[in-house]
Amino acid sequence: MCAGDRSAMSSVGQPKARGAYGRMGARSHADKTPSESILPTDPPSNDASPSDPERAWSDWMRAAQVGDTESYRELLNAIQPRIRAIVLARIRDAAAAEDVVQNALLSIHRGRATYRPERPFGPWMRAIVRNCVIDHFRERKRRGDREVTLDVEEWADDQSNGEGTEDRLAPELAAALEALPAAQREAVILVQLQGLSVAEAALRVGVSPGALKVRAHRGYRAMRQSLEGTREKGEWRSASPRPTREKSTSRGTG
Amino acid sequence: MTSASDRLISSLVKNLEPVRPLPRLRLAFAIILAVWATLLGVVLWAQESEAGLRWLFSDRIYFGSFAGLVVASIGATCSSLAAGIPGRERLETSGMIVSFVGLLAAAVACLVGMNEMASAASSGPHGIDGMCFRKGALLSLLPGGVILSFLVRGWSAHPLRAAMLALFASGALGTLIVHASCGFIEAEHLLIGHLSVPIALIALGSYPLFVILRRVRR
Repeated sequence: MCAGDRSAMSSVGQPKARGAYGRMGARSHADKTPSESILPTDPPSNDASPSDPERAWSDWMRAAQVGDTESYRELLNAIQPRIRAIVLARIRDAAAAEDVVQNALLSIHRGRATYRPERPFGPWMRAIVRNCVIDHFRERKRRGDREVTLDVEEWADDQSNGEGTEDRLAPELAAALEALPAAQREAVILVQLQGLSVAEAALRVGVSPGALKVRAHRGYRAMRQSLEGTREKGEWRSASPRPTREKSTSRGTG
Repeated sequence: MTSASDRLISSLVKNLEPVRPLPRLRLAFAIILAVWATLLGVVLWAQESEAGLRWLFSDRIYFGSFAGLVVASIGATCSSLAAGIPGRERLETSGMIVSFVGLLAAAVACLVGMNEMASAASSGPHGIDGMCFRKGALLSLLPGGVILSFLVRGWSAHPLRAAMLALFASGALGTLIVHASCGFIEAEHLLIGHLSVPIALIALGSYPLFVILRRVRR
């Protein structure tokens, strides 16, 4: 993509760039000559020196801070492989690594005000990613053996025929799900039935990934108790395999 | 997997709002210093008794404790400001070490003074320790508020550590004003009435502040 294309694309975010923080010294793109555009003149390329991509990322982030959505999209798409590489070097479980990548993207989004354009972008980004990886290991250690999940999750997947809707659940499971508090039910549905990642579900609900995991975990626990009660009373109506209580690693928690 | 990340990126881009970058650390430090200096000026102007600063170069115990507190204040302030910015961990760690060394030096100076004056009877007014402690805690509110306003706009990788550092810095800054203005320089009083303020603030305020910072980070 040439500089001209990018300038054209960046005009999408122009109104925001002139918003509340326009007085912060970030002039809008229209005010700049091409040579002094805050966007990179050349996209990061493989033959560029190592500092060039980071300079481009820095410029994109500077534009994103004033509300340029296209620059922000470019930035997130550009740094995503680098973040994934950093995370995969430390976490071998691909699913857990993907969750950490998404947490890192969320953290970069939430902490974007802490980036100073005059400082290099790479160390700032790596610090956030590193902390997300550390958070992941801390949480995994904290939960550790306490994490108990049910085969009922796989059972729910089987029952849903890939559609992932609440209506297709077995009656016992649907009743247990229905009995949950709204917040827990929402978390369980988003993560287990709709197949969203924890970060995606958290973004949709508007809470942190940690809070969403807690909600979902409490939901699983409440459902397990409910299903065990139903089984003890001999009220199984479904011909599907009964859920059993087994220890296993939970999805998204490593 | 990757499509999930792509969807997340689309959501983030969709939710993008302009943000004001945090001020430079130097500027934030200068603001805190200005607030502190103004408070010190007001306190010195308002008090009728003689300030402890007159002992600065004539009493080595007072000098040691004062210098230690100055070092602790500067280190803790830098460290707490850096705690809100990813990538500034080196400054955070070094500031933390400097602040603890400063406080330790101040405490050692007071302990040396207590050892030397063990036989002497205390001549301080009754309840002066508590009075200076309360004054120090009260004076720490304003610089603490400035530090906190910086931290809540930032992104703390370790909210508990950031909370402790912020409380330490604000306590040290507050008690430094008391240290400079209090005319009673007995070593035991300096240790109990002055140096205990940052420690007490950490002990009492870390968890509530940690909860606030963690909530803000989310």
